[in-house]
Amino acid sequence: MQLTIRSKKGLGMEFIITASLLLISFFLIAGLLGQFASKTTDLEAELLCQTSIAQRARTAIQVGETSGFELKLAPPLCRTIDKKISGSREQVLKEVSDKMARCWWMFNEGRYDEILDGFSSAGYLKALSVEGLGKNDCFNCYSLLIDQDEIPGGPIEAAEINEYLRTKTYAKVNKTYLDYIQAHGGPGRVVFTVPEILPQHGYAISMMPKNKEQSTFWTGAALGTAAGILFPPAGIVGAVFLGAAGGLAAEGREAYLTDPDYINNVEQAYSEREVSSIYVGTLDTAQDLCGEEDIAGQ
Amino acid sequence: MGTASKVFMFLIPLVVLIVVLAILFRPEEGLFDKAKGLILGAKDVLPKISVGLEEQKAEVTIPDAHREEIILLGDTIKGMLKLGNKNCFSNAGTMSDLGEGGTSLEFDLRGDKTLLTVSGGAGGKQTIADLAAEFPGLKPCVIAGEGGISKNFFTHFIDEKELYYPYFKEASSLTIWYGTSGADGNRISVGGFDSGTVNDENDNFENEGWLFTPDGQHVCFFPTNKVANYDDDGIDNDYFSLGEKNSIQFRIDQGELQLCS
Repeated sequence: MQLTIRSKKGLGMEFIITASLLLISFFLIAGLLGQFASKTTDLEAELLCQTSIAQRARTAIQVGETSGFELKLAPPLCRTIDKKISGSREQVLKEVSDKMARCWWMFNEGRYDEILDGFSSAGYLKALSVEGLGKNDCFNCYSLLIDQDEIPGGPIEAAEINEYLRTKTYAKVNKTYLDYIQAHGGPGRVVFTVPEILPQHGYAISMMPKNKEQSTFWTGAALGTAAGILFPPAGIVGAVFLGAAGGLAAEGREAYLTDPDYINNVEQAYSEREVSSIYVGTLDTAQDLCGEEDIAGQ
Repeated sequence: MGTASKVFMFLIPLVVLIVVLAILFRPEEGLFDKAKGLILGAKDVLPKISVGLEEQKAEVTIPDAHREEIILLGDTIKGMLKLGNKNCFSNAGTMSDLGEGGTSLEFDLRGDKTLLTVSGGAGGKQTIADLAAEFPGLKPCVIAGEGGISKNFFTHFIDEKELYYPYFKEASSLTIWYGTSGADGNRISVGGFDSGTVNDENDNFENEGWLFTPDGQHVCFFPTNKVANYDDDGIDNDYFSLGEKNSIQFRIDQGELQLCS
């Protein structure tokens, strides 16, 4: 019988190499799994929201027609998804447009009015309704951070995004983004409550279900709302457009955000919707007017 | 028990049964029919209960008449955008009532071009994508505004006196829509004007479709008023109707004003 004596030094080195390889493999695999899990989580969140909204619509109970009430018992299971966006101008435009379309999809493409309102009434029972409680019965699908110091070509104006939506095809349905949101399911529209998108700023994409048959706010065009783009008051718009050519710093470009007329207009725009809409606005405004919390189970 | 008693034992219940059935099922007046009527009538009184929300269907359209008028307006404007056109007029046809919550048009000056966005559909708030248009080189303007714009225009083109500047006002945006506050009718709003100039007027788009270009680059719309030959809100609407002796149509027919080529 022959004994093989191994050197203690060799044993130690072998262990270290093996352990190192195991650790590296562990971190690689954990990293991959983590990425996969986070993507799945967002996708799961979108699917869960879409399914729960569909269930909520299918199980709503309506009592009476002209003077009855409506009860939606199935909870909407939706959470705000945080996204960082960066890249070329085209990439930013596509990402924003994709998320607008996805938010529309999550809420069943506008097929159901007042879907987030748990209890609504009409006619003689309206005086007894609990409408008006809560935050405008809307929801922030996404919070988007433009995660770069500059957008190639400068800030992206709302009109440019609107043009992108009007002309580019949303691959999932083979229609333009605007056609998809306006006419694929129920009637819809797009509203921008900011005139442009700036780098290193946060924005929200919000689902705003129809909640009014006729709005006094949206009637007329003195605000420049005919095209669904809510511009700041005339005196402020000039400053922002000058900024596009003159290179104003971000603080100058956002002076309109503190203008009382603008604040009042935005609050009214968020509170009244004659058509189910996708709004794009500042994150602060959206969180203030639609709430910061997920609506799971509410 | 005798035979007679047995007969009565069966006969009496039978007679009672016949009488009861007759009362219940007598046609139209029977109790059964009355009960049936009550139960069926109750459904008209009790509230209707249903499960599931009604699905909304989208249809992004505007009336055909509006579509044709907007296309004609666009073609007319394009025809006016020539360097040789100076201080001339064109007619795009009278625009029919756009309707409350109906169709609206917005011209938006963007650098060296103007974009037209037409809205309609649900609540008049959806974009009619196929009518969106771009007018390279166009600068929208109005014959209205502070600084004697309407007066200078009227004095020269209607009163045939000397031409003073300015006689038109460039606008960053124009919106044509239908309003119902005050008098119902089509209106024009001007971006950049304050709320007291043009934008607070009622049906101020009674210009019978007339447009004006001072230079083949600016195309001016005519906000109208109903009380004065001219003021900051525009020109008197009478000067756009055929019945007025010094109307634009009359002057063009007389060769005193020029139609754009």
